[in-house]
Amino acid sequence: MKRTDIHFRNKANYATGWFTMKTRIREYRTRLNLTQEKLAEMVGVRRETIIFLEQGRYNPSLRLAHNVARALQTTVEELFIFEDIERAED
Amino acid sequence: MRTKKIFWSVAIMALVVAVILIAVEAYYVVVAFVVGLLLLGHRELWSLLRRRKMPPIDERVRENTGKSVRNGFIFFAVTTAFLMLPFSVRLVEGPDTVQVLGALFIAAGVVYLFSYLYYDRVCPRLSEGSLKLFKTFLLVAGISLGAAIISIFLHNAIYALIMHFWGADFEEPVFFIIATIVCPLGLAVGIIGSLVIFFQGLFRKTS
Repeated sequence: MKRTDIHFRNKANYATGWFTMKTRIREYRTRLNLTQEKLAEMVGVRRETIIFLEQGRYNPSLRLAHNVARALQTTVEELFIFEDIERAED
Repeated sequence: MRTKKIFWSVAIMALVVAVILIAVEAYYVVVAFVVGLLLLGHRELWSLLRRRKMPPIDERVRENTGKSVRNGFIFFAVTTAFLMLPFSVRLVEGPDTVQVLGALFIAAGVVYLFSYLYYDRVCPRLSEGSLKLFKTFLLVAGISLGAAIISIFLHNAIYALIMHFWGADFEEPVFFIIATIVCPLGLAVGIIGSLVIFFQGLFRKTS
């Protein structure tokens, strides 16, 4: 299953530098035979939001992450994986 | 239902504004206004016609709208402040005031429109490298514009000082060349480059 890595600069705590976010939304969605449109309807967002979430190109709020996790019958920790990267790698 | 109410409120307000603009014979403004609204609301219109319901205004849409309103307001505030400066005050005096303010409102609307499209569609579809290049082009355009204004001021200031102290009719060449050749070139490169990347991102397909 394709995973997307995206780097976000953590503005609130610059000392932590960069981190990688991996999402497993597509994996869980296909497991439940849901289309992007259906998942968007269940969560109450637009389809584009689901697309960008799957691609790791949108940093969701905790509430949205929780809603997506609940719709996919899993937890936030399972769907979104954050990994710190050493600042030297930048 | 909330989004449907907002949609109809905006539609009625837009209709009233369009009627007022037609009444004052500002036809080109009406066309720009309608095209802009259709560009912004085409997804809502399409969804309403196809499924008889509005797409939800989620947190991403709210965030993007907020950032775009902020950008439009900053643009309007900065340009208005610039027009208040002593050397440009002639622009807002006399019968042209309404036209100048109207043009400013339209320009602020265009800034809002491009900002919304950038945050909503262009930014998430561009790679890190393309985004950096886009920002560099915008920076080049902005610096060129600022440098042109400063160069015009310095060219005239040096000319006036030489005239005052030595009485010689000397045309200062350095700032003249910067203002008339270098800066317009930089501005053109910045605008064309950023527009190319903008439209590349806008029309890139998402899976």
